[in-house]
Amino acid sequence: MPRRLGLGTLSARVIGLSALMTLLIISAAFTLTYIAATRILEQETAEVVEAELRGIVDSSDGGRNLPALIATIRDRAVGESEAIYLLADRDGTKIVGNLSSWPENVRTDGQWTSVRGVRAPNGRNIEIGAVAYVAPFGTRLLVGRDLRAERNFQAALIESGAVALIAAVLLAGVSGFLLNRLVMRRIGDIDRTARAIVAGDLSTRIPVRSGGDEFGRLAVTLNGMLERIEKLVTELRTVTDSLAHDLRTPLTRLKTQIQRGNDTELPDAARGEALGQAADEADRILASFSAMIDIARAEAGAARDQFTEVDLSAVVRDVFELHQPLAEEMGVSLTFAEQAGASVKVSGHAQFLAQLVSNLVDNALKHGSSGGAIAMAVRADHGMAEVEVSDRGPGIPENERAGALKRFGRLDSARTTPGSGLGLSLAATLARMHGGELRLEDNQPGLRVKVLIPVAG
Amino acid sequence: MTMRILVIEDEARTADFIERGLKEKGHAVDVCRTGPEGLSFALGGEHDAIIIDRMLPQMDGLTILKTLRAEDRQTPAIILSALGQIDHRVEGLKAGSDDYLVKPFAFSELLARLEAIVRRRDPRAAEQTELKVDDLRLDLERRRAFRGAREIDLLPREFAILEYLMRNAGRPVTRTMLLNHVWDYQFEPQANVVDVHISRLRRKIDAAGERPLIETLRGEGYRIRSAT
Repeated sequence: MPRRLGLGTLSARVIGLSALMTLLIISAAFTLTYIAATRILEQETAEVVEAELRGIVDSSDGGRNLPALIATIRDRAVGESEAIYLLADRDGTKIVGNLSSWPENVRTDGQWTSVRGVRAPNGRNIEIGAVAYVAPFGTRLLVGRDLRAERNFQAALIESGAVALIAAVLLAGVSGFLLNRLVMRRIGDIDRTARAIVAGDLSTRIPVRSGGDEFGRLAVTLNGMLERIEKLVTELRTVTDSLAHDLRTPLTRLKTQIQRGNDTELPDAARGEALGQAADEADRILASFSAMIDIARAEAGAARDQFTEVDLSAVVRDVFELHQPLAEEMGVSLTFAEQAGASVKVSGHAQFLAQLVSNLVDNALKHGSSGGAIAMAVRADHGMAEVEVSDRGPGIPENERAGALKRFGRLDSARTTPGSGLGLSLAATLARMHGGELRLEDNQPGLRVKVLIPVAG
Repeated sequence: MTMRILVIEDEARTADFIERGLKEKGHAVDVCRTGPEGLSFALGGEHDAIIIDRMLPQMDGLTILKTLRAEDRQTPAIILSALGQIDHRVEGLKAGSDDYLVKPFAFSELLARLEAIVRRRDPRAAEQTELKVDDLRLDLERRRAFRGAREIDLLPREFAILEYLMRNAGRPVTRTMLLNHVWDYQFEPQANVVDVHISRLRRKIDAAGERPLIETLRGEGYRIRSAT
């Protein structure tokens, strides 16, 4: 039963973490802003108040001219203004001003302090930021500011900060959730596909919702991998099935021959012949296995690191010279044609290329020799090296050509002639290993095998 | 010719099989079961030939060979391996091996190849300018062949086949050995391609009335042999 991927522990953790990070970042930023704003504001107020105190003291001859001092304070301490003034005698008794009494804890060294006092005439208890001065005869002067407005501003700042913080955390949670759901949906696609494959359906693929994004690209890559795995598994199945099937006949023959060799009632000559046949049969089985291993290795792309520039013309000519006497013996005219003056070079493995061409000639000699002529040719055309081996035998009907190149898709007629029957299949694999392809064409009559490999350089 | 042969092979059954076979033929045999032991024996340089398994514990056969060749020890060597694909063989030969034999193998094949590589490394063989079997004479410098006074017209490949057979005169040469050494093919085409080349060669070297020099060894290959 496929489980839908929902809010698992990982998603909860991701969302929680994102909200927490938002909370921390915004809190830190706000705290710094708050501290800075408050300090600047208070400092400015303090500077203004200090300047005012200095002005009053200077204009009253350092506080000695008491009448002038009283007149100035009386002039300024009017109404409900935020400015606070208080002139008191040496005992702290009020002379004039808008504070009812000299507040406690006021520093008289000219330093800005925050104190509480009672406002006159309404008697309201307020917070004051103040500086104070003690004149030569002990008269005390205090200039300050009602800090109510500043405190209000700070409260508003904290309030709006808190609102912003809550909003940000909520937003982070929501966006985290949405992002997470988006990711989870895409992971869900992969998860469902993987489950279907585990359940046995190798043909399932991940839906590609949009090819451009990271998930789209991942889906394409994974699908490519699944494609390859499915192909390999299918091939493996075919191999095991076909192997079991194909080996039964030769192994049965082998057994019969060994039994004959063991039969003491037969004349020695017949027993010897039977054992000789058994050895040949075993050789053929071994050759089939070698061919299968060769194909598998070539398909796996082995030996690509051993590729060098190879003179393909020379390779084909050597194979021609190797087979020519045999063809002649069989009454087949084997011919070789190459472009004059220019040898064809490809990047590859000389041994594998020779094996490829040799397999084509073997195949033509085995299956196409009835036509009496086999033509080999090598040339380069439009950046492609072309090797051609054509016979004038029975050929392969068009609908059976694809099957002839499969590892086990041998033609029924091939089973009656000697050899593993894997020659063309191996040749095709070797061509692919060299970045090329093998084509089967109608030679009218006969079979024309064409191998195309990119020219080196 | 009695030889002293070093066998580096970890698999007991194969090692015994080779040791027994070689001793039956009168050769002296040392067997090593690991790579490092094999290398130290081989560096001693007292052997006429070395048979090395490719996959060994601790140090593989290719490494042993490369080390040996880097130390300028030119003892003829043959690699035994279950890895028999073309590229494996090429790797083996590049590592400094004189030949490469794929498991499973017939003992006669191993022996034939062993004798061939020892013979080839023989300093006398390198200096030879002429090969002779009976009245068949091969002039290696001018690339000309004579049977008695009659000159035989040989194609380059036919000359190479004959030269290989004559360098191994009196010893069996298998079809695979010919494909490996004359054509430099590390794969096996249809089995009878080589046979036809041999019969052509026979027609050229044996004129009517002359003693046939190349004999066919059933199930093994060919041998060129003088009458004496």
